[in-house]
Amino acid sequence: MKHPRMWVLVLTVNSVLGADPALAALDEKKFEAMERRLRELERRLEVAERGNRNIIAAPSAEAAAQPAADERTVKALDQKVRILERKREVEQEVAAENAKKTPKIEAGSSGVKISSPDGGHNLRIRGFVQADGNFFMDDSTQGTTPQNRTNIPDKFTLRRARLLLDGTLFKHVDFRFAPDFGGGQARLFDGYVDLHYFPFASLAAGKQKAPISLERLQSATALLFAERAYPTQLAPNRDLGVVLHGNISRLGSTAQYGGLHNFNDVITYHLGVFNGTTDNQAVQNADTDRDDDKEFEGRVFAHPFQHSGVSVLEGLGVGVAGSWGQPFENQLANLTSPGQNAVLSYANATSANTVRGANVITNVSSVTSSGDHYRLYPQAYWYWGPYGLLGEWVLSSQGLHGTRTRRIGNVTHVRNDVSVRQDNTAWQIAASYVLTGEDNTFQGVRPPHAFNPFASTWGAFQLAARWSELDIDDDTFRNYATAQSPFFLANPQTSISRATSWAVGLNWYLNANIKLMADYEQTYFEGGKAGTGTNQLADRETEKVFFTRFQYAF
Amino acid sequence: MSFLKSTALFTTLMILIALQPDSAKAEVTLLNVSYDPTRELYQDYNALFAKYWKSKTGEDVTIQQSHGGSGKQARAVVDGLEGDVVTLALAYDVDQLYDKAKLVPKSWQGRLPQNSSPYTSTIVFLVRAGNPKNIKDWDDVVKNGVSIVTPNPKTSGGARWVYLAAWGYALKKYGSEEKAQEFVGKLYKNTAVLDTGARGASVSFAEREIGDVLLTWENEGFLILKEYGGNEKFQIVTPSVSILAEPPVTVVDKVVKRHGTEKVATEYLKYLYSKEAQELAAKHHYRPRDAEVLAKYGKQFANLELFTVDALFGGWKEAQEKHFADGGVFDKIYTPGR
Repeated sequence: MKHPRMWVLVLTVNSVLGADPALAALDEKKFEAMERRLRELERRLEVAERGNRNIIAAPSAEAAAQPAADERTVKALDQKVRILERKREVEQEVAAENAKKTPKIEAGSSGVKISSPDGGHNLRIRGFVQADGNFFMDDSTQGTTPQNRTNIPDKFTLRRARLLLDGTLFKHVDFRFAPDFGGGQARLFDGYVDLHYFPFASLAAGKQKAPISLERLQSATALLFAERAYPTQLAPNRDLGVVLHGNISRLGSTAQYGGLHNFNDVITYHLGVFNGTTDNQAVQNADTDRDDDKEFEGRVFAHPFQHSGVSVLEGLGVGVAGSWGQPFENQLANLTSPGQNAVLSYANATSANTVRGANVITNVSSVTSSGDHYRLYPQAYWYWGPYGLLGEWVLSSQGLHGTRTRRIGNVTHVRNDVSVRQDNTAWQIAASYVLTGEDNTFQGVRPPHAFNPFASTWGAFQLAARWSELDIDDDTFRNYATAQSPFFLANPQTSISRATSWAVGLNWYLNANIKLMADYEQTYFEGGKAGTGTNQLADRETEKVFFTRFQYAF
Repeated sequence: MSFLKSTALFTTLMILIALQPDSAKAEVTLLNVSYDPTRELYQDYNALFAKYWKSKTGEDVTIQQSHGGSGKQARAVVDGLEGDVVTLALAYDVDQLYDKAKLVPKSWQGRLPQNSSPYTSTIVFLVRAGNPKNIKDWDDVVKNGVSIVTPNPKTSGGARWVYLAAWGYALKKYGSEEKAQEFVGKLYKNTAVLDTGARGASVSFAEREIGDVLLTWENEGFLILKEYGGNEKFQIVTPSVSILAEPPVTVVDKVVKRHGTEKVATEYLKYLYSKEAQELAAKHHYRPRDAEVLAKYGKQFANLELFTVDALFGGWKEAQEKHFADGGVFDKIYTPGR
């Protein structure tokens, strides 16, 4: 460092001296001033050099310490990264372990499903509501007196409000619990357990749909029309009993369990023993039976062309069902028109009392189902693309036992005791077409795009038409007594002997959950009304009813 | 030969084949449900026992193994894992088989010698070569800046032994439950990763190079030395005080009755007390119960003061309820994350 300082000093002196050519002429005063200035410059130089040393020396010390610090930092960071990675692995391991124990909950348009981690147990919560408006046309002005006017009140009604609790236990045990609150009543529609260890032979016990009517087996949410056709009235609705059922797939493939009423396989069958119900018996909570004899019911249904490759026939299903039982004095239910008005009522009545002297005279008539009751129920459907066709025919043959008694005071006199066989038949054919081109199925229509006017998507539209007939055995209306005091099993002046209905409808599936229905159904009757003059029998007025339904199902 | 004669001969042959003694076709399979660090021990022991059983009975026996955190393994058996025998980390886990499913009798622990624990172990420290954090005893692992790896006492039997070992040390040294709780709290505050099992903790420490010290089974420490580079990378530090870990074994009665394996399963466990099996346990750094074998392998096991769960905690049931049950002491002192 000495040499640079000296050189700076010399250069500085030289430059100072050299800056003035008249150096020789400088006086001492000037020289002293220059000397001071030189010293000042020298001091400044020293200060500058010290500063430079500090500037140079300081970075060198930090730089020397930097590698060690960096290494420590890198190691610490490396540990942190490793710990975080490992923690993540452990957390994933714990999460995977917990996932095995955590129930899975799914909620969506198909309801709520809660499953055990292994999938062996689950509970599905679903339900549907059908809010109807029924409007009767040309019904208010007929009849000459208030008594025989046929005004039928238009009404809004909650047709069905049903909760469906379905579940699986231990993979192979299914159950359903389905209370319904429609029509102002609280009734249990379904309550059964189904053991399905083998898809070809499952065993269900409890209250369930009787395996007879095809349209009855169709879900209420998938119906083409607001009301089912006549054949379902000649079949049991729900019944209590045990049924062996199964499904058989095509050769080479294994059938899968598809529920108590499965329409997915080549062949399905049901063989059951039930308490038995009369035709059109409403679902009731009571589970009493009047006798030891049970009703045997069976059904076999096939899709003969399933997986055949002939697409036009793959959706063809044909089957036959039947029942046989021996009810004993079972109360008979009314049959009803599409507008749910009674069209066949049996003579179950107590007549007005008459006083003869001191005695009260009471006439009591009753008609029950007794003896053999069998049903034969061929059925079929066909679905291909947007087209659908469903048809069924039923013969319900039952023994009717009618009695009429007269009680005078405390003494009973039997006046009439009639047993006849009643063969009632009904059939229907229903066609449908999905205007928007979606697949038409027995399970309904699922629109691929929900209705959204802002996105110009409209859901799915379905057109439907139906012809249905009901024919009541003529023996039902024969007079089994005298002209003066006739006794009918069903009064032909109030009960019809035949009904023929046609219907058209438009169904709008807004999305998978909401369906709007508008049907018009017109029914022609034979009999069912008092005539005039000698001809005491006339045809009941044609029933014209416009149905609307707002259905929400999840 | 007439048709009738040939039919009779064929039938007789079929019957003879069907009635052959079982030994000619016998092959039996056992499932040993065990905890994490015993994989290597039972791999060797199964071969030893199969050879022994074949020579004794002529029967071929195949032993399958299942390993995991001890508590998790016990729950698996309760939930249906069909283990013929369980060889778990601690008696409390075996007790669950009785408490929750009655798979074993309540008195299962008295069926084999020494509380059905054919070998023992203890908890030691494994540190990195050169012991950079100068860890010599329990007090050193709770110092600030020491990063610990040990499994989670909620899922690992070994971890519960670690916890109780630390608690016992603190209790003995500092004289109060409060101090012990504070001490163990510091320990888990220093814990970098809580693996679900002892083997997972070994992986964290040895393979992933996490932490300064691994608190683990003695046998697991030796296994890491063997598997991951020996003393050049790690060294075992034995604390002044630790716990006597007694991993128990038992036949799962309901399972062996269903499988028809009661005899071979019982013998499988009894043979663990044989000289051959005890030697094998010692080779795998489990402390053998047999005094002679222990003396033979004594050099490899450090001398330290060992206390038992019964002596310090009143037994496993009490220890479990107080420390490891939901809402217990461990839940109070352990705060996840650092």
